[in-house]
Amino acid sequence: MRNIIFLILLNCIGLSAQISITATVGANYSKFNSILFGREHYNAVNKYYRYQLLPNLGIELSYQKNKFVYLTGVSYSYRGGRDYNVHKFLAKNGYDIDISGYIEIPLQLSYSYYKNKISSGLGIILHKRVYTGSHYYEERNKLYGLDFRLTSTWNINRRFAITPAYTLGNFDKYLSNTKGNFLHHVFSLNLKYTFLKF
Amino acid sequence: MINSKMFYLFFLISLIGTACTKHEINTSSKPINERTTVVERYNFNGVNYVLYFDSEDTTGTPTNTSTEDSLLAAIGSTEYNLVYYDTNPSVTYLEPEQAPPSDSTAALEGFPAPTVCLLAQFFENTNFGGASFCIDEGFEDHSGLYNGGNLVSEFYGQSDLNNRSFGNSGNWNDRISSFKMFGSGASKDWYRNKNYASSTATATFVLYRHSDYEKGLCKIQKWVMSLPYAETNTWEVANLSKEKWRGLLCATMNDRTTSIGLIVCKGSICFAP
Repeated sequence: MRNIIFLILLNCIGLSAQISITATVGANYSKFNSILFGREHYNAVNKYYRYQLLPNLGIELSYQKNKFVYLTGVSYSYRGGRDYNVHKFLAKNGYDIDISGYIEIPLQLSYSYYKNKISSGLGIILHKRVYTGSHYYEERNKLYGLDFRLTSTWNINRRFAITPAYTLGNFDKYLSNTKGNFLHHVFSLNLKYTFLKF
Repeated sequence: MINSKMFYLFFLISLIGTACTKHEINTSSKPINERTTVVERYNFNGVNYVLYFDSEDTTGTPTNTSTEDSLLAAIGSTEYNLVYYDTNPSVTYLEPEQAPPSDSTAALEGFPAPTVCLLAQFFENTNFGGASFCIDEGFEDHSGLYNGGNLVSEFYGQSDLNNRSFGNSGNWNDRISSFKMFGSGASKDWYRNKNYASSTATATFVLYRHSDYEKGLCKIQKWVMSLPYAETNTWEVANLSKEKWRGLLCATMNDRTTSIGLIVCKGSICFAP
């Protein structure tokens, strides 16, 4: 009896579950937010922070069971923004660009609909800052962090997909009210290519 | 299914609806007025003090009082000797009277006297070793940025370290290996006297690989320090071999600096690195 149940379960998994390995490349439209530098700093300075386009790329591993997609992977992503809180004496273009590079490990759950053409979900990202274009004293030793992400995917065909997402970076610093660290607003648009399915 | 549609529609709208605000920057600037303050620098028990005197005042009374008993009542005390070192002639060291007067001078000649800097100090070797120079008031390039008539930011820098002499015949180009800023003692007084004390005030150190403050990928790096933090924390980079220029796969920074800048800012509008 047990063997029969096991075979039925195995059959069910085989019919509906799928593992995919996907390469992803895209653009981040990101800026910093200085609310954790204090209200006075935020009111005086944050209005000068604007968006900057930066790249990201990575590899994803997803597991789909029925309507649910579990996703993880590893990616390298740039976050940053333009700082217009400057004078044209030296900055001839009127702004300075702050950039940091992060290794990211997403842990996401999505729900598929429209015959699995579209999926939407949310998740967290574990990150480590591996490159710093501008060193801010208070965040110099805060290399690790956690982000919150809302995401959606449009599966164009069996191989290609497009994924817009919004990531609130340093979400853990926001929850713990860790002073002197930037939050990151990151809107991303990625093209994905699935090169292995089984 | 309707809920799913609504969710996706809402999500798309939230992605598209990125707020972009319009900002205007007041670009007006004026040159800094000539100072009428006389500055004297002292070192007492390892702490740096700066006394400000009004050049029009002949009484010898400093205008600031936030130093240790106004530095022993403006050096009226007879318990200390005033000692000068050739390596740092702009600073007066206060040393106890009981120190042997003649032998001590001879003994100290073999050792470099500690350098006292007001804002920052750059070193020839890693871990703050070797020769050094300071960024103080009156440094090479000095500009002030005004907004609505108020000083909001200052820039101290040197556009070409080839022009800063090193030893008898060398120069400081491609020689910097470490640096540190100062935010306590006399430095704290200096910042506070100029109203750089708010939570938005920052000091930004900028190193450039090439002369004339040239920017670009692999040509610049900056460090930003909150000035309130600087009163109790140090901001120092002990080894530029471990730092890289800003950009992808850029070279390390040790002995590769040709111009430097220090931007002090109250927070509203700052000089750009």
